[in-house]
Amino acid sequence: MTAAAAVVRAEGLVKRYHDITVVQDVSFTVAPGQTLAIVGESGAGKSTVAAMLTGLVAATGGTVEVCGEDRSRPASSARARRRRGRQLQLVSQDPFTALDPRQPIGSVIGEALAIAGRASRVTRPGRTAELLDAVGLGARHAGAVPRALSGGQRQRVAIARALAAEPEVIVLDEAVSALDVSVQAQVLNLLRDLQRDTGAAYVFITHDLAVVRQIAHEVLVLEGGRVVEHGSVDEVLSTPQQAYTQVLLDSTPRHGWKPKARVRAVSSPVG
Amino acid sequence: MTAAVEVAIRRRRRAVRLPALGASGWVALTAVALVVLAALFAPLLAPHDPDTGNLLAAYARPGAAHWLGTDATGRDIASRLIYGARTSLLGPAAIVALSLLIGVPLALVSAWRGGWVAFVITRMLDVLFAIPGLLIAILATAVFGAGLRAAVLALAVAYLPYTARIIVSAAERERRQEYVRALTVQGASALSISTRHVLRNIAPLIASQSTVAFAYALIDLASLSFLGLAVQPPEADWGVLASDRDAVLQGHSTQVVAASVLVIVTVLSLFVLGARLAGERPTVRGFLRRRGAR
Amino acid sequence: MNVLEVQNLSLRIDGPGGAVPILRDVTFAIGAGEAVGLVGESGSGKSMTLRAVARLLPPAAQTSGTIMVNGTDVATLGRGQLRALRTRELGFVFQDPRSAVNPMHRIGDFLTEVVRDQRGDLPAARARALELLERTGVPEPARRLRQYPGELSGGLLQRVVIAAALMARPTLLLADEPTTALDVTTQSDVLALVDELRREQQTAMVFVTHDLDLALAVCDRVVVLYAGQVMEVASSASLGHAPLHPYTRGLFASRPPLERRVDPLPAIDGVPAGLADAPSGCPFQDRCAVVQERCRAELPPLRPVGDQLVRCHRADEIRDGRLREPLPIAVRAPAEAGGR
Repeated sequence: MTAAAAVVRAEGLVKRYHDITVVQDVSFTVAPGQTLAIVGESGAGKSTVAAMLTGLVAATGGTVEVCGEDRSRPASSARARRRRGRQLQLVSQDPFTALDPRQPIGSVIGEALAIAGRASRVTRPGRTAELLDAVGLGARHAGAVPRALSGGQRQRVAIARALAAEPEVIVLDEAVSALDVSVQAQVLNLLRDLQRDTGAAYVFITHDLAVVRQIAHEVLVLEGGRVVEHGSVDEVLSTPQQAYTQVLLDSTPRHGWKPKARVRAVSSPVG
Repeated sequence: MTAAVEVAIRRRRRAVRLPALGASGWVALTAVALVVLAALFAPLLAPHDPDTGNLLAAYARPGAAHWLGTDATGRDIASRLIYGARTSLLGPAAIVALSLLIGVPLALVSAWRGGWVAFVITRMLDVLFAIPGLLIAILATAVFGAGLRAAVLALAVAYLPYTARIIVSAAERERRQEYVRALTVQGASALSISTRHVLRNIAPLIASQSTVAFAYALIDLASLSFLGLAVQPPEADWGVLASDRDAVLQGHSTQVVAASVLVIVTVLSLFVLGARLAGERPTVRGFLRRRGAR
Repeated sequence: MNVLEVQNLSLRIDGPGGAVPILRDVTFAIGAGEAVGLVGESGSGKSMTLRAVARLLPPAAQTSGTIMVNGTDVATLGRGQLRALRTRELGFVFQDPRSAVNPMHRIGDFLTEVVRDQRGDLPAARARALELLERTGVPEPARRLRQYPGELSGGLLQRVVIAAALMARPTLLLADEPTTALDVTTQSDVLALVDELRREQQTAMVFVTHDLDLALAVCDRVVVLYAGQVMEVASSASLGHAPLHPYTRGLFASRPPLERRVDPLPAIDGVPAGLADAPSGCPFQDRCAVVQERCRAELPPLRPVGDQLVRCHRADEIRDGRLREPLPIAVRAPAEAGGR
């Protein structure tokens, strides 16, 4: 994969708030149709990196390119904003606040289609039905209001909304973390199928290594705002090169796992 | 309670659409409805013409012909009170409408842009906060002459910071919601997000806030009319009707008492209704607190 | 005598639309020093069960059945006795440490609050607080005693909350998703340390979580709840080795294994429901891979199968491996191939 084909390219990303550096020298690329997972614990800077990709936060240093377009500056015009929306979309963690609580689902999708300019007024209802179907929600949900839906269903709506723009990249920021285990499995399967069908690339932010193994092709491990390890999922998770990655793996609950107390020096900071 | 339990309970509640008004809420709603009906259908309801008086029947006692008696020039008090509902409601409505018309866009801009824009707007509103509304009104009448228009404009300006402050904090809260961020990423413009989404979600708050503001505007305007600074006699406004000192001195207090009672009842009903619409329980302390804060 | 005995606990919450059922006939017991996990998804009622034990339910709640803590029926306790129970015999750890601690008080004061209320031995309490902070992995414990909650990170604060819960040497620790909001590394550390402390002090624990693997790792026995009812009760060893209830097996299968990718991930159809939305008969019927007519007609009783308790008509068949329909994989030992 050449750099030109990469659908997301980040180089030397830096984010500083006053005198606190939250992201330091983070670089990565995402190939079309592939999934990059960004993992780390709280304070690692992964959500900040996601925010820099979506343009909600401006980078202090470094560059971000999505579909070849530089995203270091905020969008200059309405047209630029919409164009960016067609390139990259966001699904975030909390299904309860991710949707306007008063807006019927059909209208949510319709609005997304309108903003992205992906369907005319005539074709919008049909396309809305298609999208709802693609995420496993029936047409009968089109009139429902988010309050009437479960967390998993709302997250499906958020995914359908992201898909409406037919983006090249979808950023999923802990998108399955707040879901019940059985629902999480359904949504992970859905995301895999959608990636196969639409060819969209995913940037998947998570703290859960089991989910990374399930859904990602490449993984970036962040600690304290820096990249600790970077490689294919099979390499990094099966044969980690860094001690921190190994610690993360050892701490992930799974069949046969037991919690272990950390070996600590007398005055080392522990969080 | 866990989120799942709350959702289960809320689903059962969906049948009930209105917020629980409670007994006091319904009483208040009825009172307000009656006043509004009186204002709308005054020509049909009033037994006599409010402006023509029969000097021979001046200061008549309450009786069959004149339910509340007559005033100094023989005009029927009851009819004047019924017609008075019109100006008594019109003025406050104009005040609330004006303060919303200016306040809402100002608040949305401030909540959205933040930074120095919000700073400047907040400071301007702080200045307005510092000056008591009645004082502004008195100044306005001194400059523009006494009359309803000057009083309405002055009070609208005085009420601006109260309206704006509540809307700003609500809008700022909505703005931080995840769905606003999602819409931004999609490429929706700030204007469409503010009007189609944020505004719609804070509309209930604005509605209840406006109801209470209406109540206070009613008192303030009636007070100004009482002082002779707003509605001028012979206009039949409750404030004006409550200021007829001569009648009281001559032992005919029906008009003044009736007008004052009407103002008080309407204001309290509006306050109770506004509190209920906001989902709160109306309390005496709440009422006094808001008065005191002004 | 069991530290906790819950018998036929049923719970309803009165709302404007009528009473909403939350729990039905929940029964389990905990012996001294034993850790029992309550595992379930949304609507399972696991958190409400925990609150019922401490009588921390909302005023609109109506319960039936009995809850005995150290032989005393909590429903019969007056206010003073209830307070005594909560301070002396029970310890609480909830998910969000910041809402459990008053930000205006120093950590040291928070830890010794109960002792100060009862005008007990303060220096001894302080010494114990220091010791507990050290045992729960708080670095520089002496300095922390003087700090305010706002100066501590979430993970550190949760350790303080756990230390506070153990101060009075309670017989029963009630933990509701205590580590869900923490990083995995902190979670592992905290749970290991709590386990050590618990064993020393012989403190029993109710551990509410949505994470089945976590419950098996931390608890001696696990109670699986679905739609407000008990579906399966088994020792961690049995449950990890051979879960019987289709729901439990589905939960295991739904978790992506860390070692390899599974395509597709075996997912349970449908959405987890609460008791209020459950159909008559077995609540799991609409999502079960091996449902029969009998399941729709009749609620299965919770009965012993082997050394487990299962609420399923087909539990015997599952145990004997006689089912011809494919079930989600039960045992996920690392060497086994995945998939159905």
